[in-house]
Amino acid sequence: MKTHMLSNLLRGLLLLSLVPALVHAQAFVELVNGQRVPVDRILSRPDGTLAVFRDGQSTDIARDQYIRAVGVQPERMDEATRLVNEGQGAQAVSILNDIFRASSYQTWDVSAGLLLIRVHLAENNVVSAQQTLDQLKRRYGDRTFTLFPDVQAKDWSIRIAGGQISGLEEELTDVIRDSDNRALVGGALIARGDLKLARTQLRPAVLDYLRAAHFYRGQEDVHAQALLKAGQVFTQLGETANARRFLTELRTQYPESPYSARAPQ
Amino acid sequence: METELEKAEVPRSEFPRAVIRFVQGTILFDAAKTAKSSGQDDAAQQRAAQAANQFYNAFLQYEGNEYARRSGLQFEEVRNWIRETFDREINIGQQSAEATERIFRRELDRAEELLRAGNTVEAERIILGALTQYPITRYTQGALNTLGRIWMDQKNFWQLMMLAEHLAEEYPDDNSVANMLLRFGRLMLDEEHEFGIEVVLGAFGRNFPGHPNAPVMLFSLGTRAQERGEMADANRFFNEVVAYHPGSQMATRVLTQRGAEALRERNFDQAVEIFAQVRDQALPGFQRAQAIRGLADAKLRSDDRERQREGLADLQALKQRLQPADDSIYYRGADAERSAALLESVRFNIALALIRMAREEGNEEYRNEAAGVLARFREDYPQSENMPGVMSSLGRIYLQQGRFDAATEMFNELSRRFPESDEGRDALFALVRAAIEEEQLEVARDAVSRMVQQPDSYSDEQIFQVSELMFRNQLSEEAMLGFELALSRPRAAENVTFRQRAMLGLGQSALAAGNTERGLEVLGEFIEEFPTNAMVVDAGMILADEYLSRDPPETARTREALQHVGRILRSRRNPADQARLDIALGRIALAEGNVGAALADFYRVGVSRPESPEHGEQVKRAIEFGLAQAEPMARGGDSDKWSLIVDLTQQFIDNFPLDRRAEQMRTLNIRAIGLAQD
Repeated sequence: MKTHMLSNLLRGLLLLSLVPALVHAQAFVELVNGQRVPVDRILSRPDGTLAVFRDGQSTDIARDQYIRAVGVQPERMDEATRLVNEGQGAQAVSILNDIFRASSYQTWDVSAGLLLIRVHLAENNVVSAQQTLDQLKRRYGDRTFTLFPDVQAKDWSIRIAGGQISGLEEELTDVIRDSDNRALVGGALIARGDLKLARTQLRPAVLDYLRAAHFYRGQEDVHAQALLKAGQVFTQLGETANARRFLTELRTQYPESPYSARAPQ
Repeated sequence: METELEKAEVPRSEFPRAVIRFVQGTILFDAAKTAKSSGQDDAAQQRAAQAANQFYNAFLQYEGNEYARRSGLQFEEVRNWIRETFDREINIGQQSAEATERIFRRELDRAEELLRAGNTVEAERIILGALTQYPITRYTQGALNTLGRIWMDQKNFWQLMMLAEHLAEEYPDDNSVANMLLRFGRLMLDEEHEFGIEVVLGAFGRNFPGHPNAPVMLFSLGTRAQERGEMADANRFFNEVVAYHPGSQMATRVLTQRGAEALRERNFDQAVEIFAQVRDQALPGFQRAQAIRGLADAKLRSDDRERQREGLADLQALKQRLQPADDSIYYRGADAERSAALLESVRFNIALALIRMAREEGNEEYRNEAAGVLARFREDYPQSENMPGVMSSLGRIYLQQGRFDAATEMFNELSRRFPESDEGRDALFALVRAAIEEEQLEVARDAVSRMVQQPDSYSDEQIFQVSELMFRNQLSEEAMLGFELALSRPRAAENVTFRQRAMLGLGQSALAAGNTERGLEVLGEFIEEFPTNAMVVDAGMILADEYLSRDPPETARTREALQHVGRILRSRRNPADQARLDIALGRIALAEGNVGAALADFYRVGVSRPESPEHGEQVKRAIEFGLAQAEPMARGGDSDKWSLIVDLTQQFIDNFPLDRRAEQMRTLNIRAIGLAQD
């Protein structure tokens, strides 16, 4: 038995190699049987049917035959992302709306939708944020939050911004306790901190941010957000040394992150 | 060779290959460095990867061997060298759970070594790094424990609080984690770090339902908050005791307190509900009997006749159950004495309930039954502390029966036998009070007119007390006569306090009796005669109320009256009086059409933390004034007002959860949260 376990342990461990970090993405469709089919291009129809192109041939895949698809990155996606990150969200809205429409069911609509929600929430436009979220949920159905944990996090943010918080803290606590999805748990910690902050419970809020900052370092978006928010709340609490510590860590570790751009100097 | 060794069941830690791999790795690493220094980057990378391979495999395959341990540390060094020199990562590939755990364990060992050497900062960095890379292994809990030790040494309270919440939610009901939290809690207690105590012990109380101390911890947090006067926090912890440990003794205590509070707030429906819950979860015996008594009390005090009858029946059943008997569960050990005292008090309460019901329903049968109960009580408990109450109750029965002389005799005897008791302090007072309570108003009025006609037969204090009693029971004209009489007595000229109290009483009762001219005159004189006395606050507020209640309100005169109040409060700070003043100023602003200023006044008082029951009453008033203005405005489209409504209703819910209006506030609060803008 021991020998058998050891053999398992050794398998796949003996050969180490050096790899560069960059991984290139390619368009694909993930079918319901789990098979991932690489494609050159995808067009989507309003009912969710995908027309996929591969080596000059096209095939239709009905909505119930695939789990998700990742299309070719829309041309202006980077530009829109940059605008939002630089705080010029209003200028990005029309680009994002185009992407949201044209890349429906191709995951890029989720990326665009998340940015749109971010812009709407920054403008206190909870209704538009909610509409965008609802549209994503219609497209991806019950799998929306499983496939895209970031959308779940935005759902929480919208509920907090809209004051729909009855039972939310308990819901977030259940996710934090029970979920194995670390990105989701990290997002839930941030959301629970935000919820407490909305109730002006500054000190309890900072504890959730600190927890995400210490134990969810592997989830970069969560980690950067947590560092920023911990720094901001410590500033509000007048704990300048702590505030400086977290904001410095944010700037050092994520110099290019939009969260660093939002960090007070 | 290794196969042969395995066959011979030699432990792998004893295999010689561990040393060989370590030496090979060391040679290869040296070679890599040499290659790098001579500019042969490709060769350097290749050698370094081979070195890493040797170290990594030695580490994984020969657990327990000293060179396996050293190989682990060397592997880390090679990895860092490659990262720093070539900006590349070693691809370890998919690891088995066992390998992951071994690597994690190695990191923990490194941290422990650093800790022993006093390098806590580096140890902390390594543990956090390892937890990031391998968040879940069987050693995670140990790593978190080490982090806790580091942060305890550093007295890093924020980190400890955060860790306590993390541990409690990740490992609920785990004994070792419970002990970690208790260690953190002890430190917070020693350091008197109040927020830390709440976070750490609160997390403990909520997440370790199997630990016998968990409910006690939450309860003590509630008590601490209560002692600090932070009622919202106290209520939160008490709620948690009931929510997380519903069947515990602590939950029963909380519910019993809640029941008593609901009774004080005259929220009888809620009190009945709470005491029923207490009864259902109380231990059989004295505790349950006490809960039944609370439940019966709540029913008897309600305005619902049917419920009152139920309460009486409950008490009578309880009386039967509490009869002493050898095998009675109520008379075991320490409960015996308490049960006997409870029985005595139940019997007395039965009589009081019968008297009240006799009066309200005009039921002769109840009255006779009450008389019988009281007579038997006098026989069975001649030395009872309740005896003054029993005699006073008998006097009340005589009054109900129209037997004025018998009643007078009873009150005289009561006054003679128990002159120190509340009931027997003054026979005249007792008679008048009983008459008022029994709604024998003519008897009470008679007593006052006899007092006015023959003032010399009565003491000054008697006259004052009876007048006050009259005023409190809305017999304003009789009260006015009494206070005028009190003011005419020589004591009013000699004793300033007596004069002040009588003047204030006269002013109030004159206004209440509709004799505005006399009321304003006396109160004006009071302020003029005693401008720096604390009672000017009352005089000024009474005047302000009077002017504000006029149609149209006389705001200039109100403001003038309040100036006197403001002057007193500048030197004698009293939150309740300050709140009264602010509310009155708000009402002036309202009368003058300045709704914004009025709302600001009501809001300021409404969201302040109640510092005493009197202050609490003013906070409630301010909330109601504020909501009365803000709600129609919000519904009319002024959506900013919803946030104000959220704050005011939240304050009410947090501080007065058992008030009769709390449910209404909760409904409004939820609606307002949905409509409030950021």
